[in-house]
Amino acid sequence: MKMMNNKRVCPFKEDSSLIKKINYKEHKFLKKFITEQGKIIPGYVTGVSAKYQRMLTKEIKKARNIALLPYRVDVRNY
Amino acid sequence: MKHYETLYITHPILESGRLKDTIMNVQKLIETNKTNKILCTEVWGKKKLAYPIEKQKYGTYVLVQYSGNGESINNVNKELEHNVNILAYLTVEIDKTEIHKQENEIDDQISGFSSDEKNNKTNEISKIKEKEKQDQNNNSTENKDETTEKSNKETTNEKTKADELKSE
Repeated sequence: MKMMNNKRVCPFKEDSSLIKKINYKEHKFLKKFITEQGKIIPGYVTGVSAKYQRMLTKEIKKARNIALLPYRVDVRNY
Repeated sequence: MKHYETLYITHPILESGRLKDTIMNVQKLIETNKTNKILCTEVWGKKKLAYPIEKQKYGTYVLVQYSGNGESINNVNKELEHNVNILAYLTVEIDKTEIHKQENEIDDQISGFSSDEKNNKTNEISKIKEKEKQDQNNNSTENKDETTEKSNKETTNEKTKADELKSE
């Protein structure tokens, strides 16, 4: 029963208006799905379903290309 | 006919006049192919880059949306690559629904960053005034509203009752 309670629900299936925000220009929204170091958080941690995780990774990589999101952040510098 | 958008970062040294020149150059470059049509240009303003490009920590983002048959995109990208004033660029195919409307002209957008705060203030003042006006109107029409609301509620109650009866 514990497992049942801990199971996360995909945020995009709960609120379909968020799907529009999966876009490389919405880098502030995409920031939720990367770690402090700039790594993409896997879907099994955030609960995002595979379909939307695929879209997310593509858009995050686009945003990295145009310097809206970092490729990596060196935490030691802070 | 497909729709495309190019987001590019210009050098932070460029000020209003030279920034406009580079923007116009890019527009001309896109329009050299006659099938291409520029739909919208947006200047996002000077922003901090997530990582330094060509030793620059800041850059001005510009977004151009255009439609065309995609023949000239390779040429456009090549020219952007060789342009000294442009640090980075990204060209993507977009959906029809993603096209923005051209709200301000480029001059206003470039010069607007310094006067943005002023505009916001004036907008707020005008909004407050509008609200006051609306409140006054509401006060005068409140009595009417109450009666109409009551009648509405009654009708809705009847409807729900009828629905319940049906479902039963």
